[in-house]
Amino acid sequence: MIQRIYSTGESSLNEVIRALSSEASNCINCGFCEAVCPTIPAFDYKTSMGARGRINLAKEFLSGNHSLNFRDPFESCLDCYACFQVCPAHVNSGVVSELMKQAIAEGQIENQKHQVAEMITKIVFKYKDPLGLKKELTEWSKGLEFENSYETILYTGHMHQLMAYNKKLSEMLKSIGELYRFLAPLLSSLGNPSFIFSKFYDKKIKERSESQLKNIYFLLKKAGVKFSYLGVEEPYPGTLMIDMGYVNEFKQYAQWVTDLFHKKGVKNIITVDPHTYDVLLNKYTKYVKGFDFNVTFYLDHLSTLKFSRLDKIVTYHEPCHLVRHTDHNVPKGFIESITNLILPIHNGKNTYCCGGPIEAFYPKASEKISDKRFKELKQTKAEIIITSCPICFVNLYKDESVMDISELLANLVT
Amino acid sequence: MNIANELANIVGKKYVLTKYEEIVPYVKDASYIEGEKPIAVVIPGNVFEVSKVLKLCYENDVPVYVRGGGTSLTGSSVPEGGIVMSMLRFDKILEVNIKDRYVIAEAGVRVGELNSYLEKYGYMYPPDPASDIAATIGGSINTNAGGVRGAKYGATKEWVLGLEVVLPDGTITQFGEKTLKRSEGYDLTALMIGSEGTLGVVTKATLKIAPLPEREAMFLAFYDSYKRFGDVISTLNERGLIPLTAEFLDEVSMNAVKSYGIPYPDNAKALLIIITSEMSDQVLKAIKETSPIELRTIKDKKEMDDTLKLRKGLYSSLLLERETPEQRVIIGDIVVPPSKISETIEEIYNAAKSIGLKIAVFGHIGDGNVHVNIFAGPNDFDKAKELLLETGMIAVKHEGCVSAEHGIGLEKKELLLKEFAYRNNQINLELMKKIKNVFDPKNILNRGKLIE
Repeated sequence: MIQRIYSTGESSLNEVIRALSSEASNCINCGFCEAVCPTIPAFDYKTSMGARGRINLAKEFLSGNHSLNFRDPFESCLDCYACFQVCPAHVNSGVVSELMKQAIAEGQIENQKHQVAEMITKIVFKYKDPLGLKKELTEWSKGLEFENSYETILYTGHMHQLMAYNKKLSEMLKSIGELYRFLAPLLSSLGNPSFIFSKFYDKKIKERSESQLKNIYFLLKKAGVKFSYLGVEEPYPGTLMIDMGYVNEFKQYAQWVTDLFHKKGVKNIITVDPHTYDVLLNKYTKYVKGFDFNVTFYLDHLSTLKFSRLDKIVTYHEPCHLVRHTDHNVPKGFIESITNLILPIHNGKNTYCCGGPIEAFYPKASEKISDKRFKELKQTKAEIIITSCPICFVNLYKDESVMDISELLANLVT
Repeated sequence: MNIANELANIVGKKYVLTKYEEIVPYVKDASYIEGEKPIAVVIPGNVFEVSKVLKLCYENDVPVYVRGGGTSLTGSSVPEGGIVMSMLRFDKILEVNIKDRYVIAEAGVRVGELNSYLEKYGYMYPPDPASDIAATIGGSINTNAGGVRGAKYGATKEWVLGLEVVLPDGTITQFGEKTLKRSEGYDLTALMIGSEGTLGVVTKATLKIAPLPEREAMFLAFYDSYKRFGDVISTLNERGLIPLTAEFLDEVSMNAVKSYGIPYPDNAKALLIIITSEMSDQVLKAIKETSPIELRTIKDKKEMDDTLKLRKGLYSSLLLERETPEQRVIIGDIVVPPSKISETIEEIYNAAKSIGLKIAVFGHIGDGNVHVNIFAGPNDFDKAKELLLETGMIAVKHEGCVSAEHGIGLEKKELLLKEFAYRNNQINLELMKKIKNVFDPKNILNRGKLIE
């Protein structure tokens, strides 16, 4: 069956089919992944909306059945890799979803492209940012001083800044329902959609996110790190494009970003959020030629700082993209050393997603997942809940006990 | 009558699945057996909805296949048409009572999740099937699941106090209670355990719990033949020494877990892992008497945990030994009295050799449970079935049974009959059929499984 698809497809489809086949065919259907997949309870306990069901559906696609609705099962995947942690056959259902999203984005499955995903990809290409915002994204850095040399840059990847806009956008998508099918192509055809998007943001989140970036700046300075910032020239890394399966577009775009970094003389990139850190470490190195930068997470640079101790019980929500995608455990070490840390029932490699990655397209399910995680975090009886990812922060920000690790460290640094 | 519409009237539209892409995942379980697509999948949220769904199906002769975690290794949860009733919305732990030593959990709670929850009380629910991360309370009751703690704690049947059950006609009833013992005639609770969803639908269970045991020591004993290591459990039993865990791995299994970094002697053919909570010195002495070629003692808790990971990850490691992704590792499951284990394994090896299939053998030697793992490519399935049959009959000849903890499902129906016939116990089948008929005269529950 696989042979038949090989012979009729384009080269990129061949690539997808080969990778998909090698991942999915190892599945033994044991169901371990299904038990840990957060999207099953979030989507009314349908197993087609969970890790094992997705592999079953990918197998349907591989057998030539291209007419099913693949979009919802695969676009609802959180890419949290919880499934991979428990799979006895070492199958990553998250990767299966990534490949199926690629097949959808490349039009190999007819009429299933997501209009908003298309819109975002087009805007990123045009404006180097998902919403066409430029000025707004640099507002956090007003009045801050940076080095002249770009040898070492603080690279925001726009993630913190976009959170305020993303929150409003998902609220809008929630309220307009299926109307987005008509509005998205319209928006992407506009000369510059930023005049619309720039008006829609969550004020409180904007202030908080900008303050977190300032904390990061302040901590790095305090640790004696010399760095610069590309300001309005800072490009978005293309994370959403790769997340939504637009691999070919991402390759092209990421190459442009890489070339820009080279042109600016960048050698070291300090990232400030897990998603950008992950995409540079794992996707740029895979898809882009000449990506030879030293990529770090900002917390890697703070080991020389001294912090006063906070005598409170805190809990830590470990972001999937740090502990599972990149195996980065530095934040936990910091928190453990300066507070009374109690971890929630799902911790370490078995952490539980905040629901953030599907907030824009599936807001109700995303909320169910974040509610479940928030409840788990609260069950620790901790007074403070810490995260180290802007997406996790916004999704779990259900009361004032939730804070970003940069806020904790900035308060305690001596 | 449109059954899907009727079901939607009971549970709500979003909990009835009829689209092809929605029902595909329910056609298979963890076995190699594929069922037939159901008309619909229904996901009820409470016992009253289960009752109404069953009443509807009973009145209209619609077969119902109840599904928990879909982890059955014998095809017990695959549908053959009809409707699938998924129990995943029954995912709440309702009560923990340490004073009276019980926990009440809904049927869809995962066994591993229940144990994580109980851990903070210093307690556990002892049955711990290897699939505990995904296996549900309802499913594990219906297969009488065991696990590595079986040597000391036995299987599920020892730990179920009471059940809320919905009978095929929709009647809601309760078998058993919260008490640790009862003497009230026929034990209907026990009848449900291992019934594989053929008699009623378990919606809630009251389970006995036990304090988490303190591990004292772990012994790793290596043997150069299968003949000697089988003597260990008999020797321990003779002296009244019951270990917490007693597991064994054969040479193929040991090779598969090499990556865990536990070195073993070149001539080792088998490894025995024994964990004790008391009288460790006497256990050590007994093991020594069986002349292992090497014997190691571990007392450090972390080292014990790390070593136990090897056993937990064994099936996973065997999967990596497959020659192609299409090759399956079919897990066999038989049980013999522990004193018969060595000769049983010897005969199984001979059978595998003559049929021409690679096998890896491991198991819970403490209770005589042997898992024969058969490496079978797509063209080997007939041979694999032949070996499964032969393995089952080897167990029977050694006074054992064709299934220890995986149930009968579709895979072992023929074997069960052969076991009855071998012992001239055909009447057992008749009795089982009569029991089935009393509970489910229209045969709507898990039609085609177990005794049909």
